[in-house]
Amino acid sequence: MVVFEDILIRILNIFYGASIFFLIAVGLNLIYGVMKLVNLAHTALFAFGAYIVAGTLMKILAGFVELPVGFLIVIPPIAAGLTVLAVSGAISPLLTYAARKSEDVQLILTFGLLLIFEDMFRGLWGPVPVVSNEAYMRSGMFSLGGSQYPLYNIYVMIFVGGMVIALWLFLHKTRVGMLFRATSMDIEMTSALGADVRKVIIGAILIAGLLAGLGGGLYVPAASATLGMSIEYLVYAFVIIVIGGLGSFVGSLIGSFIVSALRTLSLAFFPELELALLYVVAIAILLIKPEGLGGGKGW
Amino acid sequence: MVIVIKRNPLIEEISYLYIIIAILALAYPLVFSFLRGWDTILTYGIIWAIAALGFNILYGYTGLLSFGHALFLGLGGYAAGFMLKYLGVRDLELYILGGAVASLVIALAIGSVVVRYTRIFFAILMLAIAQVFWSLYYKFYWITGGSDGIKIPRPNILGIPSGSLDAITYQYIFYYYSLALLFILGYIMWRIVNSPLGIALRAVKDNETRASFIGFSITKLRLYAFLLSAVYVGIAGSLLAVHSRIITPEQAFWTSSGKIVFMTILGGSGYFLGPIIGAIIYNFIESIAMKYVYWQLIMGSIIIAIIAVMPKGLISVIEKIIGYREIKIQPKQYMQKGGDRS
Repeated sequence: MVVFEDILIRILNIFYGASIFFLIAVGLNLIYGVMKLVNLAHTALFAFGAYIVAGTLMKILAGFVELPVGFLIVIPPIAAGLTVLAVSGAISPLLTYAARKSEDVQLILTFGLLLIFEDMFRGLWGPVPVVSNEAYMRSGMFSLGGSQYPLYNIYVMIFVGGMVIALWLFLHKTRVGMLFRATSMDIEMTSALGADVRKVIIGAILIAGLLAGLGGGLYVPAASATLGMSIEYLVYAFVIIVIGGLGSFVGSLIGSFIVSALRTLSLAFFPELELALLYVVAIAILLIKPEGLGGGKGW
Repeated sequence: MVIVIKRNPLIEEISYLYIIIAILALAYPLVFSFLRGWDTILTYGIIWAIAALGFNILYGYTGLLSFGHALFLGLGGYAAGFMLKYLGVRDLELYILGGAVASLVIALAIGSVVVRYTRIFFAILMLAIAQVFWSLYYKFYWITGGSDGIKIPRPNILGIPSGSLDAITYQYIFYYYSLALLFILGYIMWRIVNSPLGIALRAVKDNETRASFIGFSITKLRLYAFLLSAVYVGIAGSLLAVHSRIITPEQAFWTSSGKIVFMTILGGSGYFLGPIIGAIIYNFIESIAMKYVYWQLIMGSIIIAIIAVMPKGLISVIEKIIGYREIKIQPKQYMQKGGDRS
């Protein structure tokens, strides 16, 4: 039965990885959808969330005696999400400025922003990786036959699963969500029909920031916050977007799963070729279906 | 009736390339004797200028922004490293040739695929491919030396054995060698961008659809620009590894790609000389900024400020000083006959 457990654990890992990827990719796609801006600095917001939880919140919370696990796994990520929401609100003028420029200038501007973020992390939290796995450790394990699997990962999957449903409901069942979808389909027409698209754009930036910060906060207890993390995840996020299709909700979901699956499997069987495999798949999809697997379906 | 045409001497006259090369040739002994330590930075500037010049045929002239040109810097560097490690080659000329050929071969292999994409997709694809190579340099450490890289001792230049030169003479020779290379490659590039091919490339950048209606093969033209830029950056990669005396995966990392983009924008991608000036100034700014811990912050702020304040790059300041030249043309008789509607 060892083989069966092995497969089950791999599947759980794929779901876990996809959960984290989704929170990054959906924000990137949302911003691209409504303002046609490819924001290279987006994964820096994810790293920001991770740093806030590991470097600041957990240090403060460590001062209190024995907080319940339930508190540790819920409050810090949400606090990180809200902080990053504020940060992305602060950078939104730059993003809207960049969105008015041509695409190459957008890439360069947001790349400059990424550099600034990276050094901010270095300044605020130092050059060494920040580890804070209390929430992860204290969540405990559950046994799968002979092996152990961390409960924290299960929690993340459930949390993100809830977010996926909530986001879908928001986009499809509310009036504001409809405005988001309309703006990403045709911004001029939406504007002409009387919707305030500037508010939609700001809203998209804030939601993307919230999700990225949340993702960072959920991710960090099981790993660590490091410099260069923004770039590492930027590379994954781009592969997700290429596979799933730019500006698509379904695409972010499909892309996250495929990238997570490829990553889990290649790390298990041929770790040297992990990135190479990801890109070969991305290039193949670009060649066969340039609009991505979820492309054309919109939100 | 007289027609007045505005001409931009910075874009249309090669004499400014000669002026820059002459200034750089005269500057080195001065920098060497009065600004100790900066001479190496100047040499780096020359080498990066070759890379940026090659990059700009793709970005400034053809309109394809690549975030992965460190791929070719890495290939050039590792070509030199492998030639030394496995073949025992000690000649700079062969390193450069190896770097150019390696870049050309890989560029041919990936180029036919990537040039079908433009804008963000091209940028991402190039970033992705460059990162694959970077990860391979790291992971296959038994071939590439991993993060320790391959050390490259002083090579023989123009057949002169490296052992027979003292350090200062070597530095002088290496500088003027690189400068001569920049001049030759710059001259070739000038001829190319002003040839029918170069004009066709600009047509592709300005309006892809119209260019294809005229009968140009867009992918072919883009591929030519891609190959050309790969060769230039590959050569720069070999020189860079030789000048640093080591090739590590760092040279192929995305930050190097960012550097090339950055210096081109800094100088002005719309001008032939923009990348050259940008590369030299960038290396000076960077080495000043690197004295501080937060140099990325400084560089990031500078890049945003430049885009906001001087979107055409530093060279546009020179343009303002020189100004445009007005050329008056007397239209010929036959043009006046048929076309006078006033």
